Amino acid sequence: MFTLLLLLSPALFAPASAPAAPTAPAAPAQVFGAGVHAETPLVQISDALASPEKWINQKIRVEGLVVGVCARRGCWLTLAGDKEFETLRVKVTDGEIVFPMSLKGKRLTAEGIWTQIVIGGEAKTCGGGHGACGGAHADGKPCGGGATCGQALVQPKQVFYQLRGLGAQTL
Amino acid sequence: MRARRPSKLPWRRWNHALHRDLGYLVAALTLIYAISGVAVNHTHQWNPNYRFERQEWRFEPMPLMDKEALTAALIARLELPPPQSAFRATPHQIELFYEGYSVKADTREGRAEMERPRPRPLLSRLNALHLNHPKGAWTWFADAYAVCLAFLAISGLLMARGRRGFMGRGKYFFAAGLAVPIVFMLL
Repeated sequence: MFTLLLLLSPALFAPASAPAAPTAPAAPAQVFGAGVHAETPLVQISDALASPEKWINQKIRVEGLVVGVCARRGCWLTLAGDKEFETLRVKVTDGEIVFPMSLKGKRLTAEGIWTQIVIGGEAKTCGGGHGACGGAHADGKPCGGGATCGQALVQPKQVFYQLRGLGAQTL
Repeated sequence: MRARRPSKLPWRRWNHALHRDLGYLVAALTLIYAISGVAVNHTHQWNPNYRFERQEWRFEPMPLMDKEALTAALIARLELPPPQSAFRATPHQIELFYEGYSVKADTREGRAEMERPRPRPLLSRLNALHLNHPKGAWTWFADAYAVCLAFLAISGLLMARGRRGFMGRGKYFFAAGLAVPIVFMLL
């Protein structure tokens, strides 16, 4: 038991975070996941967002200012692009990479697969043709949009792009 | 009638001793997993890793201007130090980043909020262990712990004999414990 406590003690009672002092000359880069690789093409966020279909399923690197971090699981972050008002989400597999909130405001390079996400665009029938639905789908979820039983609704199609992050490194 | 030969391998004594000593060994780890298990089960209700300190300001709305001018006007208005970096999400929404905190402002609404995430000192570390953030050697240690737990479960079933044993009332408790996850799997 004592041995177990000794084994655990560094992990349990070490400081929760070790923020670098603002005056530190060169804070070591924080590396996440597989890190980033020089051979991976570096693409400006504005270029990727301007012609997003060009990069689908390709491995690229992007650089930017971290302006948002998933507060609950650290499973995504948002990078500000080189142009104003542009952001890109870098989504990582839950638990594989965990981004700390201390990254906010720091510059970071992320590497991953440029991914297209399409939402909606398909007709959904309220009630699913299973008789009285009470304004709900067959699975009990409300139809929304004021649909009545048997009415087919087409959700507006939305297309998003994000980087499926494999690694990242602070600059 | 032939007398029953004493067992060469007193497995029940071994089972008892191993159950007891492994129980001591993994008690602390079980508490860690139990505490963080409850914490991470409720991420939809609270943040198990951070608590947030917030401060709000109200100020006179500002006209549209470029990012540098807006940043300068805002830090003057709110008496803030110069930020490490800044980001404009929209022409009138700007966020200033400092070491450990950030200030998000809507200059058209005349409203700003400082947000400082503070890691929950012990709980965030427990959650990280529970969710295997350290990876590497911790993965093997946690696997070994899982094997120990499985042993404790099986050896626990075999601890007692007779009416209080598994073949007595134990099987009903066991069935009740098994039924709950099965019901949820079928739902």
